[in-house]
Amino acid sequence: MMDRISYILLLIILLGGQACQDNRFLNEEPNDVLSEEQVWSNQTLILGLLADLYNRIPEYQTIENWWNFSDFDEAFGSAYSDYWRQKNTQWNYDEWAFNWDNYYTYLREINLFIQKANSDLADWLDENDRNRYIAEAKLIRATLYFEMVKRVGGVPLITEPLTYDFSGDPTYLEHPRAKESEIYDFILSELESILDYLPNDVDIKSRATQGLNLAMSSRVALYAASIAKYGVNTPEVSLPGGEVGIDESKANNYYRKSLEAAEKLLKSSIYSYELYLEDQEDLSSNFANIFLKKTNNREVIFVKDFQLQSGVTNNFTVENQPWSGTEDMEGGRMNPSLNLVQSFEKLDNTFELLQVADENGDYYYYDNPTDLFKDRDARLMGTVLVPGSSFKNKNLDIWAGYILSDGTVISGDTYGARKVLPDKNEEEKVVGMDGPINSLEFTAQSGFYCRKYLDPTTGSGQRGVKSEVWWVRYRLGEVYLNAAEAAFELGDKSKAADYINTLRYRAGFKTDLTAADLTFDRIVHERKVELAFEGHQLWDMKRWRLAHKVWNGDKVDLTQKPWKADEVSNRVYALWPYKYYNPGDENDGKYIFKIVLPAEVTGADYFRMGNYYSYISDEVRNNNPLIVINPNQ
Amino acid sequence: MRSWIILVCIFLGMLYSCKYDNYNEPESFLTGNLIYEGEAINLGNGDVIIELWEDGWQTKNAIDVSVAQDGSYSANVFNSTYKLVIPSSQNPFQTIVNEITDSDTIIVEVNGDMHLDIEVLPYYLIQDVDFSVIARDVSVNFSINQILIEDSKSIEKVYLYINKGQFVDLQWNIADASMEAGSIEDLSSVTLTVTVPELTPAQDFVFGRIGLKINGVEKMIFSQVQRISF
Repeated sequence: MMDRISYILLLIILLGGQACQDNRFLNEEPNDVLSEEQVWSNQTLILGLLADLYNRIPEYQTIENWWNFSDFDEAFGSAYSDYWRQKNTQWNYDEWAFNWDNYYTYLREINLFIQKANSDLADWLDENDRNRYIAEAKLIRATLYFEMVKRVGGVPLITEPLTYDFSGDPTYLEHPRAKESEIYDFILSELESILDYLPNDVDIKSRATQGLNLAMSSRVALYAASIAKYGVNTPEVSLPGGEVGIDESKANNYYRKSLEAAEKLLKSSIYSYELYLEDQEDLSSNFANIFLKKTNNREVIFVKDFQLQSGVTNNFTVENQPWSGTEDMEGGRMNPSLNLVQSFEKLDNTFELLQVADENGDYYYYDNPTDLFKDRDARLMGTVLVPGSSFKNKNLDIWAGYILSDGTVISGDTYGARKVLPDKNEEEKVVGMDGPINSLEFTAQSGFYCRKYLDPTTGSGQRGVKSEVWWVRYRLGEVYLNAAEAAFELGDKSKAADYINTLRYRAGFKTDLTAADLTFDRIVHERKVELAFEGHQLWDMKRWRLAHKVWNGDKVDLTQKPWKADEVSNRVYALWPYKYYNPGDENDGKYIFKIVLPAEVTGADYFRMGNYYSYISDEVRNNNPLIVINPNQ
Repeated sequence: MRSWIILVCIFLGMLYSCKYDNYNEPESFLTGNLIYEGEAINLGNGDVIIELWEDGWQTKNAIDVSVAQDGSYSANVFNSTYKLVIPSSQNPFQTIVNEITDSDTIIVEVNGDMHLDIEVLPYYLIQDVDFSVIARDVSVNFSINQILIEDSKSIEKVYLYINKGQFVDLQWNIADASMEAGSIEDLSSVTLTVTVPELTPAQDFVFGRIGLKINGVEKMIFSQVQRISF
């Protein structure tokens, strides 16, 4: 017995001795973490850091967050999981807020990157490379501040990584919110200071360029300008300390900055961006191709890129492809609204409502459903798949049923349901494969599918393949609109008309708008039709202080004035085609259209004054008592 | 068999022990109304929030108490001293300065169930509401009484809302009629008419009330909900 215990003890002692002998153990280099010195001695690793920073740029509506497009009046969410978006009435005050821990951690890492790049760790780098890295990080930081100021107004302006000294008193780390205007000024001055250090190369799309810098400056300055100008309409949306709201007197200065940056990009000969115009014959496809063609695309300025078979692909086409031609078990989840579709003008520059019925309420008959949309802005068909059009060479099958001469409707409740029509013996299809059928997901419940960003490549609709269409964050089309708006607000209407006409020419308009035609309504309208589904709507409506007027919670009918900027449009309407069934009649087999409110639309969007600047959580304000709360909440 | 009994006993013991692990539930009800001259004022559902703050904790989070559409509120709270605040977020009334705190904060000492009416100053009140029905047309005649003469705000619009259930306001309605302030000729007699749409399942009554929207104030003030048979 004694023997065994002493053996065990001896073994333990020997093992212990063994462990102590090797003192390398405690000094071993970790093989799963790279030290600062290691990272900053290798260009690939530095680029890796930067790629991570690029990858974390916050966004709202994108092709990866397309469901947010159906939060407003642009689209209907045709999936069980999205119906609440049209039942929902008001938004919580913390909607569009952000997680301060995440954003400020991100900011700290950007600040660290800039600090290290400026330190002697990076002395070995070529001066141009080093300056480019710093400029890129500063542009990402400016983007982050832009995203924050759009959401909550002024935030603490931190440009150095903060470090806690473990003294037990962290109050020296508390910073109050800067003024909203100070954040905008910071972004603009940063962008100006880094312009020359960025490359000027139209083929660089997913990293910062001079083109991006100028496009961003024009957008940022335009936002600040319109908040200053239109903020006077909502005096209650402001704070005494200026954290929210910008003084009206600053408006023109910002508009000038916006115009200056936009014009530099549009006019200076050193920049070779131009509007995408490869297909004069089919301007709609040309418009759709802005977002699809990755080569020889001089319009697109900055993107989030995707690549097949790299693990970085997107699901937009899988989830939104037309159901009748789907390559997988889903599709059609986002349906553009009639509210949007009827906003596209006729090519003679008039706003004509879609001609569905005459003044007596008698329907017009159309041989082909696309005839209803004839002679309209080419961007309509470039943005929306209307009934009668096709995708991937397959005709869409959007029709809601047969309508008899007495107005009776014969329809079904599944995709392509079959029934026996009166005076017939055999079952036949009585509703399209794409619906529309109320409350049946993936059908075109608004009567339309989305075309913008929908990838026509074979296989893009399969979950195992997905799509490599990129998400366009900045493109020249928007810069034209920024320039037009800024020029208009500065009183130079003819210049504004020139810029808008350039864009409209590409959309098929042959008659130019004159300076006298240009109004604020025109500016708002042009952005609506050019930039639909590009993630601008919420921010535009906020900066013009139109959001509380357009989404006012009143349950109103579909507007008859789609050209009017502040016209209420808070419920998604649908346009349903029916086939006329009356054998022997001259109209038999033709199409009529009904304007309907989809059954799932039970709420009306209600944007409250407290939604203009999102709620800052109690937790944030507990941690930093210097943070003041936003107004009207 | 014995192990079963032991297991059951342990389980029962665990249930029993819960009583000792947890905090007591809040024991008192703080209830009351937002009132003007003794009458509760009517608001939109959940439009107005009352905040209750309790001092002495490391972090500060208010207890948000929603005010019901008839102006009443009710909160289940611990016995303690609370600071009661109505955040000034676009409410259709002004708060009154409290003498003790010299601000609109009210100090409430809760010790057992308590009733506390909070006096406020509405910009307007809707009075003399008289509903009448012809076939499916619901008409209402009412007067608008301006309460705040100093610091006044103008009327933007008046609405008649009807709903199938008893919650009736901007968000809860099946039909509405409205009139812009410019069309109102006589504040002491305003008439609005709305046609009741087809109801599924059919019912022969609706609930209705008037809402008044003030210029530059988001939340509306309402009249009392009434049941209307037709």
